[in-house]
Amino acid sequence: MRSSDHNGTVLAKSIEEPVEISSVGTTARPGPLTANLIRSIGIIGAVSILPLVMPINIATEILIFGIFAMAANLLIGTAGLYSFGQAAFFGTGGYAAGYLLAHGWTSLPLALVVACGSGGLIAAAVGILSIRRLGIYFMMLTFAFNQLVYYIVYSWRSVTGGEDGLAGIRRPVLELPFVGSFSFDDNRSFYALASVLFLATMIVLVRMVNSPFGLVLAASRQNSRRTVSLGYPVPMLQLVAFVIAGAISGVAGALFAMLYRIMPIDSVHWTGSAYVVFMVVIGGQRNMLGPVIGAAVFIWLQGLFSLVWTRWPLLLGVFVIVIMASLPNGLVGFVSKLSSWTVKGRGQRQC
Amino acid sequence: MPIAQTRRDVLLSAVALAAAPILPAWGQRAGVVTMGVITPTTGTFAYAGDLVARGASLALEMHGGSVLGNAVRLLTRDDEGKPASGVRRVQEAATSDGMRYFIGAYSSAVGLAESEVAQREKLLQFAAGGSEDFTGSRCGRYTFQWSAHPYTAMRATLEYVRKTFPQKKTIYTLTADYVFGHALLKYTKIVAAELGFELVGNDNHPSGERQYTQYLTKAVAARPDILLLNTAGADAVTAVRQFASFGAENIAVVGPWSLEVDQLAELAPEMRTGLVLGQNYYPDIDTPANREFVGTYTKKFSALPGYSSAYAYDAVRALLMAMEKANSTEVPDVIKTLEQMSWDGVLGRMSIDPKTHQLIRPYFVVRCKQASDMRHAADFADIVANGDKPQPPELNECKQMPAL
Repeated sequence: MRSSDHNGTVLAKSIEEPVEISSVGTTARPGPLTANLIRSIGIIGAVSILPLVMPINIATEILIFGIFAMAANLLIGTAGLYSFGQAAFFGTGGYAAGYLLAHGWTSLPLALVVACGSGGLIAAAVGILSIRRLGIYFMMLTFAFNQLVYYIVYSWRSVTGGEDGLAGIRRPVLELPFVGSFSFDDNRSFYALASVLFLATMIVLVRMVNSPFGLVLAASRQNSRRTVSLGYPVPMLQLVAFVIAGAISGVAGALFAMLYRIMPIDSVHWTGSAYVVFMVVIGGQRNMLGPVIGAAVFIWLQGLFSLVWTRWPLLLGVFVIVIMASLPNGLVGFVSKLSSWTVKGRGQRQC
Repeated sequence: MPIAQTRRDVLLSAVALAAAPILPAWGQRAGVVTMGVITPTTGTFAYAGDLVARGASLALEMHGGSVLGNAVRLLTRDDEGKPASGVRRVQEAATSDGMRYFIGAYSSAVGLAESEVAQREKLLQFAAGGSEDFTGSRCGRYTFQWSAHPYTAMRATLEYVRKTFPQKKTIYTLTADYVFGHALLKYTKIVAAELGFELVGNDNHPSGERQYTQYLTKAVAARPDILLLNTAGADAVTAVRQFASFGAENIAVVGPWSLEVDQLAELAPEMRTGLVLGQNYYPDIDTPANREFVGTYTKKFSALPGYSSAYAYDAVRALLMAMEKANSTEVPDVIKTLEQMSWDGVLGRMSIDPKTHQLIRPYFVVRCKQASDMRHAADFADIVANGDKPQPPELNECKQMPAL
């Protein structure tokens, strides 16, 4: 993948949607300093404001599911792999880290490494067996593996707590040499931890999808056979993306386990995989802010609709249908279109 | 793939991210006691959610809507029958709405997950459910259990069978393959040994099973005197329906915790005639508090109350009584009072075991009637016995209640 720039250009010319790829290529170049600064301030500002305008546990959940949704978007938005098994990796990371934290280990790096490693490992096992299957077969296989993991968690009661979930999880401690130790028992400090990991994940994933690796994944999303014919090892790169998404989902799962100090069994259920796909679709797949907006709106709407009507899933279903039918690029795509209309309108008035 | 396409997108998206999920935060207002009914109104147990909410609001209404001069605000939140949603709703209600007391959670898994939040946030939880862990391995100072202990339920039911049908000695069990069913099977073995029954076989079935003939064929072939259903709800309804077509009339069907009043209507009279069922609550319980409850409930909702409504009514009523007795609405005061309190509830004389926070209460055994003996459409059974034998202390896993 070192031949990136040249091959990226060839790719962009050879695939069916050259406009989008070339625009990604263009924005990959470092923009003006002020633009980058404003972007960063905007994101950090939003993350800082979030716990002030809603319960801190909901704000933390939005960041956690934002991480989870961004990882899923690496597969869906970039690689075009509609995985319906991401909850398996979220759950594996959560249970693995949760088990350590419930049994006397308190180190934050250890918990995160174990979550990341276990999520990635299970993703590698699932990916090896399913990545070469296309379309509906890939979806069904990932779904089936999700349920397999679910029933292992359900049955392995001595380790996972079975149906009752894994309880007794303690929040970890971060020991820094010469500085001291940081405890995350307070919800605000835990939110800070989630924010750091959220921002770090966003930076890593944005850089990753702008890299040659991301370009080849995007190319394979648009025309896999043509990308293979250009000499790229598409299945291998898709597998790597699958493992990275699994590892990041594992970290999100670990944060979720730490948030409520319990790992409930429904977090590993296939519905969790469907929800994260909804989050990506609602927010928009074409940039990394989309899944985060999708996660925020999805979590917020669940709470809001459940206060409005006891049969609220109907409202949520209608909302998802409306978004899918009318906003193919999700809410962020809609905002983008709206702003371009506004600019156009102003331009016309000035003429 | 950029974070967003333009600077404007970033700013607009950032504003949307920050502003969209604003929820109205009530905060804890002075002079208001906020109680939560965190219960499933969607999902598998959706039918129970409305019934729990009905019972809770009725208890509050009959108490005048206030306690010690403080208005009582009842919040209803949907836990979806999922532990993750349950903990989210409890935490959210505690943080934004100042909730300090809550009931609900028809599922034990949800209740146990919420119990973790209750201990940490110092919220009083009056739970219901079939899991013994509420008052066992996962007991907590802030959690109380309204439903009977599985041991009490099994003992009361099988004791009745032993006395009424002394010739019936062998039991075949059909067990739901999840925590609730396993707990009942565990206590079937213990109580069967205490009362001299012989267990001749068991089959586990998955939750939501629709085909029971393979289990029932094995059960009939084993020629037991009793088919014991360690399963509940829709599973138990289906199993009883299918067993009725076997014509094995010499095998008595006993359900220690299987069918509540709400579900008995789903069985044809000839299918339920003769069933022996253990009950956490039955509308015919003859106590002053229950007569008052059933009268008011029937008048208001034109239906007889079942387990879900009775639990919510009685739990909220007990909490309000404890606040008045403690002359305080502070959670630690109410907990200490409840631990020492003895009161006349809908089930009879009730109290709390301070070592486990299990409600000490009777458990009822009913026998279903023939259609010709029913006085009205919901007159399914007669109460034939009750028992309140608590779980033997040596079997309890609650080590020590922590300090408040």
